[in-house]
Amino acid sequence: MLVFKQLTLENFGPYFGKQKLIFPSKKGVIIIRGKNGRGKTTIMNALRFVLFGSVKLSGRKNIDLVQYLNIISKTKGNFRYKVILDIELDGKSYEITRLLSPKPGLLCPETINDYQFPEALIKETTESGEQKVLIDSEVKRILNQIMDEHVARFYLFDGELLKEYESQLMGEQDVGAAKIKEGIENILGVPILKNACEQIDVCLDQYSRNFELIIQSNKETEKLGIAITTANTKRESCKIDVQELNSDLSEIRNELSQIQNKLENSILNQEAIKEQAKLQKDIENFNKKIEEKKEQRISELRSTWKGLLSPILQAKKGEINSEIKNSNQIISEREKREKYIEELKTSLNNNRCKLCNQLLDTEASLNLKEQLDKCDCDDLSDSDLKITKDLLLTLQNQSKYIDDFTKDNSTEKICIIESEIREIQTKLLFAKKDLEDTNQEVESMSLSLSEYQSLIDQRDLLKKKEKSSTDGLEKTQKTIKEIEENVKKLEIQLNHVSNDGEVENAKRQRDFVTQLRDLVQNGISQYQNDLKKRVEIDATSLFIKLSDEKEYNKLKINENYGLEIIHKDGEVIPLRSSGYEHLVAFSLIGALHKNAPLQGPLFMDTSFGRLDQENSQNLIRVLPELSEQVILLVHDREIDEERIRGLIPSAIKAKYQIERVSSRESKLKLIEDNV
Amino acid sequence: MNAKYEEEMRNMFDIINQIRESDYPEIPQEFIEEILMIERNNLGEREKAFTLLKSKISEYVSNLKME
Repeated sequence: MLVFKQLTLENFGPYFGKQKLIFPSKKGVIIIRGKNGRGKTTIMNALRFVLFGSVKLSGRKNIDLVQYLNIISKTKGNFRYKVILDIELDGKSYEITRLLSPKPGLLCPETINDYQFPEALIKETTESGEQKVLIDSEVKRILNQIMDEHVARFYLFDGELLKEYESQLMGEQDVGAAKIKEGIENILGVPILKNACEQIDVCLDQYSRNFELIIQSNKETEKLGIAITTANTKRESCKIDVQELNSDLSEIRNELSQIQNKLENSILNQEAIKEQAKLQKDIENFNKKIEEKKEQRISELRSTWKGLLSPILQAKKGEINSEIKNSNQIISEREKREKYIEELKTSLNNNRCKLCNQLLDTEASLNLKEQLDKCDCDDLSDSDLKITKDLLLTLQNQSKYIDDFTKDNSTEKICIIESEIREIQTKLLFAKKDLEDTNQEVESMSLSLSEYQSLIDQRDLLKKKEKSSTDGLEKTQKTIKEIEENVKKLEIQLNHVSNDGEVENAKRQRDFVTQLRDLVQNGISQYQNDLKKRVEIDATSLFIKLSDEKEYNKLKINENYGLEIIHKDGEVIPLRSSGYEHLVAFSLIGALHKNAPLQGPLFMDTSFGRLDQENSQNLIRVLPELSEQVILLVHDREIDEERIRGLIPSAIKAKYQIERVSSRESKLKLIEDNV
Repeated sequence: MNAKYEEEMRNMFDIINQIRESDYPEIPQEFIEEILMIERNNLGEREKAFTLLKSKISEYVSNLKME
């Protein structure tokens, strides 16, 4: 079990002076939180530096180590930086120190050539407390045992690396897939068998040569011996060609991988530029909207005083409405009476009832006249009617005025405007932060049109070279097979010719070593298949926990440890979302950790970016299962800490904040220690 | 070495041994296990591993000659 105890950074990256990160000894999760550009990835790179003496990011070229010298330290004339890692491995403690310092006599070094190679120094402390400084060969052995550089990618990984797995593990022909496969097999212990196979092969050559020499020294078999030697020499020459071609292919594929990365980054850069323009426009619009809302608020404030009069005016309006009602009633009654008088008059003039159309008798006529007189007496004068109508008009105007005056409740409006301004300001803040991130992204991936074209040309050329090397390799391997067939035939002839004990003995020795080599070679492929099955089972189990899609049944592994999602109906899911690509990659990493002989800490840098809330929660839940020490490097908006706490309450053992001192300096601050 | 590592090594030896039993019975189990142990114990030091492996094979094939 490998446990990280403490990491000390001295003038490394933004960490000026000495800064310490203490990893709690108890099993759990450590959160290191910091904004973009504050130094989260620098912590990963410090680990890469102290362990491997170089910083190589996920298959890309090495980063110039001089870049990690803290600028404040440099301006003060100190051109050295140092990283110390304290670890515990199988009961022993080790303090690994790596230092970058100028060559003796150089006061102002400029390039990496002005610096000494940063060799590691290791101090070992045994369980009984004995201490010793390890010699060079022991340093190499311990570093290899702690974390081989090829394996490191599975312990120190970031979102970029996840993307790399996703794109490279899907197809067998993808550039770099072989490298990933090699890395995976390294983590899983295949190197023991591969090394054995290579070394037995060298021994086999020696025994084969010895056998040939003995045949040639015998008169009976001399001619056959020469023929066998000639064939074997040719085969050896072909083998050298194969090695060279493989090495060329590896270099070509490495270069191709780097160019592909640059091109992909450039495509991403186009998207980032679009995003940058969109965010700039958003920010402009938000600022404009805020100004408009502020203007609106000023305008509303001009009539806020009206709100004070509102209760008085509403009471007055009640009175006015009551008067309007009275006046309307008077006018309405007058109109009804006028209509009635008109009907009475018509009936009397025509001597016929207007309602029933019957002739009026004397009594009825008298009765109608009486009613007409009575109506005339009760009637409102025309002048009074006019006054009442004028009053009604005035009252109606007053009521309308009060309505107009009080209808806009500016206090309420101002509250709404205030809330709208706050909302826009929040959006503005987020947009500004996003723009800041995008600006950094654009800057880091910037590529001119001519550079882009040149990369395309280089890629095409390398693809041609790759094709020609692959063809050459195939042809040479075919020749080797033909030679081997020929040698077999020659050896059959030899059996018929020779009865010499020495020849037979040499042959027996060579055959034994051949069998030994074949046994290990067969073991490699069988062991690889066994590993694949185990990785597939464990990755599936993890994936089921991570995924919220219940219809996804399992993961299926391919030749290069790529994983396909299988639906419960048995079909392969052809197009996976980027979030699901992420989950598959996490499942693979979890399965590799479970099967790796070395159990060690797991660093995850900004890895939640593409996951939705549910999948992020699922990932958080399984974090403690992935490794005994999980170190999460997260930025402020990546994941809600309360959510982590709610999902794995007792798993968080410590929390660090990377605080900004200036653009050139950050500090590591322990803000929570639960051990 | 930790228990997980030991378990993985055992698993690897078991696989090799199964192949040995079925296809290469002339190779003794102890011999192939010793070869793999040399590689395992000297994973970071290939030169040392090679020297030890060469000597182990030489010792064994010399005995073959004796037979």
